[in-house]
Amino acid sequence: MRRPSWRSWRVLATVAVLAIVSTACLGGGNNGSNAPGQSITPKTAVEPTSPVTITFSSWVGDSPQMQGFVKDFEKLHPNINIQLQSVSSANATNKLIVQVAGNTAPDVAFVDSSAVTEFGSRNALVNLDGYMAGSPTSQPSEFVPAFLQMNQYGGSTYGLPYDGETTAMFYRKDLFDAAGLSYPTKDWTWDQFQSDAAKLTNTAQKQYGFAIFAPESEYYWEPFLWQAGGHLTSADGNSVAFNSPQGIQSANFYVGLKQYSPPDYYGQTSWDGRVAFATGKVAMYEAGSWFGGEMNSSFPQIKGKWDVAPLPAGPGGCATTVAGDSLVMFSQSKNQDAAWLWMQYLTQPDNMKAWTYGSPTTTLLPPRVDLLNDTAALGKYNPWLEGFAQQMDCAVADNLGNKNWGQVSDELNKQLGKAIYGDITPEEAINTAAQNGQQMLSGG
Amino acid sequence: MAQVTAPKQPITVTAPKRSITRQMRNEWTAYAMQLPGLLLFAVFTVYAVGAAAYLSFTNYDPVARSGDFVGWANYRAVLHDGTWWAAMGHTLYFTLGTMIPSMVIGLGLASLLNSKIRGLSFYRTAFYLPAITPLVIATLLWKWLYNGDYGLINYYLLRLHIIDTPIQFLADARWAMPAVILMQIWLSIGFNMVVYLAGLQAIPAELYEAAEVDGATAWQRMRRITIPMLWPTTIFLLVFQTILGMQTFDQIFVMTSGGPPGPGGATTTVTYYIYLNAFQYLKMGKASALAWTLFLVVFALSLIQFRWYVKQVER
Repeated sequence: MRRPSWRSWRVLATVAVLAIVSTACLGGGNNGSNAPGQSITPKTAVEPTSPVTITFSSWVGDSPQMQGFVKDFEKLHPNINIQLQSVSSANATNKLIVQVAGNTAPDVAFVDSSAVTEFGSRNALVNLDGYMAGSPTSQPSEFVPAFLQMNQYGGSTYGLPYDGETTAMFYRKDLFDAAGLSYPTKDWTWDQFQSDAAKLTNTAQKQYGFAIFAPESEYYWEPFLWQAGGHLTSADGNSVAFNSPQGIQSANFYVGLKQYSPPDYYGQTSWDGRVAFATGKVAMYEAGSWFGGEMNSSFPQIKGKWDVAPLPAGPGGCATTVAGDSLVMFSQSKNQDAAWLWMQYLTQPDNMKAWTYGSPTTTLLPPRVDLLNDTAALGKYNPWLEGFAQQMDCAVADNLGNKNWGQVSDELNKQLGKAIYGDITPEEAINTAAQNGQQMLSGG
Repeated sequence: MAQVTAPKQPITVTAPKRSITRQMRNEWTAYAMQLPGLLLFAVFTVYAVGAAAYLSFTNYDPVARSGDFVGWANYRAVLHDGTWWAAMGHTLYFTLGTMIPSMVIGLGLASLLNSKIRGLSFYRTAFYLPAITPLVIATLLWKWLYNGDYGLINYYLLRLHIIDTPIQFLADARWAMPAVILMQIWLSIGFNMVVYLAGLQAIPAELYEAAEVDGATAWQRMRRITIPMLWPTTIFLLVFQTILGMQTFDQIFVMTSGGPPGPGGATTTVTYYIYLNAFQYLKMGKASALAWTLFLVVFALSLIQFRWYVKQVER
């Protein structure tokens, strides 16, 4: 009879095991961030004179392109050896958290850009301002501002944008033709979008104009919030701002789209829903450029039947989200100069091009200004990528400088999800999320 | 199960001097043999639990690797945290929803398998198999069964015209928890069955023979002999399954990630919420306070169940 009660200790033990590894450092923590306005001293990375090993954590280490980069780089820098660490994209951030907590962080990591502020705000990353200022190929002005902004915290850059995408509107040309509608253009509006969605919906025939997903409602509602002229948080990140009249207007508009969306997909994700678009059940689909890549590879039979338009403009103008991957260097790295040389190598123009639109299978945008403006090269393999490039000027990186934002995001998903299921009104969803979210932002 | 109470008098050493050294030598051998186990226990249980207790009074951040002492603030925050109370509710729903059916079915199967039928050991093995299947594998299997697009359950429900659109079992807030519970019942029946079977075989056959002589029906034998005689087994299972249920994590992590609609949603149990706080929100202090709160709840529940057990058995 004693065994089971000992089991209950294990819960505590599991949580604690990780925590304890780093308990010794309680109260410590170095502060390496620049105060805003402080001048930046350019820093030049020095080539190591004896062999060093740089560990590089990513989920792309198996790709032939990356393997080629490693070989080429090691030839150019004979004293630097790149050691690849593999982790699945779904577990990447979690593994890095554990590695940082255990003082075994890799030198460089390939991360989802949303993780940059998460680590940067906790002094776990090296401030790259100095290195960038002293670099021949990675000056801040060479990167697309919205992508760079995603990698900044407290006025300093902690990650190099490596690839990226915006959110746009995929649409079925065949369904628009059948309904006698003209295709969405670069400057279409909420009204046109809504009326198209209505005309493309025929619930009796299980035909829908749009698709909405409760578990991801926060992410896909964000562009509508900005299009209405609203913001997620205040500029300092300390208080919620999405409960403004614009916030409520955008929630009403976005949740209202459920009447043009298949109800059996309400509880799904934009990944599950791809089938509905591919089979012609859904005519318009809000997604990033990854979706086009997926259509190309898994549903080649509808090739040519779909295209991409920018998201419609709202009362506050055009807006879209940016997402992407970044390269970061951990402050636990003992060979920071060598680590920087590797990061700089990967992001130099020819390599970034090879990594993004330079291959027919990749559908990611390059976050460098010169590459993104080269429209001829951009559309070489996937002409529809222009739909994404066109709205680059509208990209918003609502800089989420509050480290508790992740929790607020979960809360918004929960409340907007309830509104999609009709349990509460969109206005109630926004107000409840704002009330709980404010507590979370203040650290409660 | 007999040694619930510890011996009353402490063991006193009153032996002469020479034998003390011998006794000590014997003891040291014993301690040395226990050492590896004790070390593991000390590092991964005692130290870890102690560290969690310490951390629960700080706002330690595992990535920033720093934190301050905050007193009871984390515990106060736990009590005022709506998601925690909701998670408690989900945990209770899961625990009761799993425990009661799986114990009733387990008892039923045990009674059937306690008789002399052909292929007995085959049935016993078959029903016990889920219990020894690795949890994550079993969970992944059920995740596919429940899938809304190509899951077998939806396939048959559609074919038999019971439903006309697929049910999104794991993505629908009304279905997600019942779906997880159903899987857990399937998983735990085997264990309950084996424990009940052991209990049944400990009941003297004379009792049944005497009852039969007295003309008792099968139902009366079940009601008057089997169930009362199995009482200690039942309480053991109650305690065991309560603790197991309160610690449910893997199933939620693999199947629903606490949703729908996502983390913090309809299937977020207390342990999953602890995980969210520790590794997603990076609030190690609050996570430790949550873990300690859960420990106290489980401890109190076990204590109540034990007291009840002792009272029942002594009667």
